[in-house]
Amino acid sequence: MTSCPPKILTVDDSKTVRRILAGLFVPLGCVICEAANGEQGLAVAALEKPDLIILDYNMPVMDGLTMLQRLREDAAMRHTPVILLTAEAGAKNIAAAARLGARDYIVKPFQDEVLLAKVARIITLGPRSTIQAANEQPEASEGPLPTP
Amino acid sequence: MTPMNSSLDLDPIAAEALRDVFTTRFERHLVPVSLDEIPEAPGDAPWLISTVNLEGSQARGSVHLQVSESLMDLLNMSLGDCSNDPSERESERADLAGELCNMVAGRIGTSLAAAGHLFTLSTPDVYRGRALETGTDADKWGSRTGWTCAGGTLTLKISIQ
Repeated sequence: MTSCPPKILTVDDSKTVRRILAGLFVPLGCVICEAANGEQGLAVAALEKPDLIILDYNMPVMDGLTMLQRLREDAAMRHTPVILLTAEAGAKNIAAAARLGARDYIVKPFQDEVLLAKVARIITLGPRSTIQAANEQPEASEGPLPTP
Repeated sequence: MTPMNSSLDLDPIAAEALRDVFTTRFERHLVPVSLDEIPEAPGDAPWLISTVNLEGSQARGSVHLQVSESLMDLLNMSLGDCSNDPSERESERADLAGELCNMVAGRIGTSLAAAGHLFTLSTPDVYRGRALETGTDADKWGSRTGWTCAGGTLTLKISIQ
């Protein structure tokens, strides 16, 4: 029996960050789809139905929190897990993400191993991530957000 | 909350933010240099300068990161395949410069928040130009530091009014 590869939607206005994320997850057997802002992200999410969304906080056109709110209002996508990427580790941002049901958050610049460990808690990745997720502990300052 | 007229040394905050970003993301180490050693322009090309604005209830400010195209090429290559198309490469350099400034400004914003000064960050703007100017008298707090990384130079400037 074969299973579909996990599909991850990366939403970030920086192509550099989308490149980093694709370089991290494509070798692990993931299918990556991309968007450059929240508005595009909603459209791509509706079309592609990703297993996980990695969402930047601060973006033009529509920011990450607004996109997250819209996702939660959409019956078809309200349960899609989201990890928020943020350059600011402020308590206000993190609390807002938790309120809107983000599964986790990670602060830029992130260590690849920490992100892999967080993603591996949500979707099944290829063998490399399994080894890394087992060996790596997430940073003490970052952790899963409480279920709303 | 710390009053706005208190002294705040931004140099160590700038150094910690820059070092954190370059070490974590690129495994590159930065060495401080005198600002006198940083040229008006890096060779024939202008500097890439990215800016993130800080907006707070009691103050506003900005973070500027000045880098050379060659350093951006080097860091871009470390992220994987780069485009062969010249215009696409130029876009990749600018995007990386903006993202670097975004990450550095995020770290600075976190440090300022820990000191009681909350700011909202803008998305980065990137342009090509001559070297960053020194701060002005309008700055309540300021910092301008020079660094080398892998043979390239960069300057980080923080201004808060």
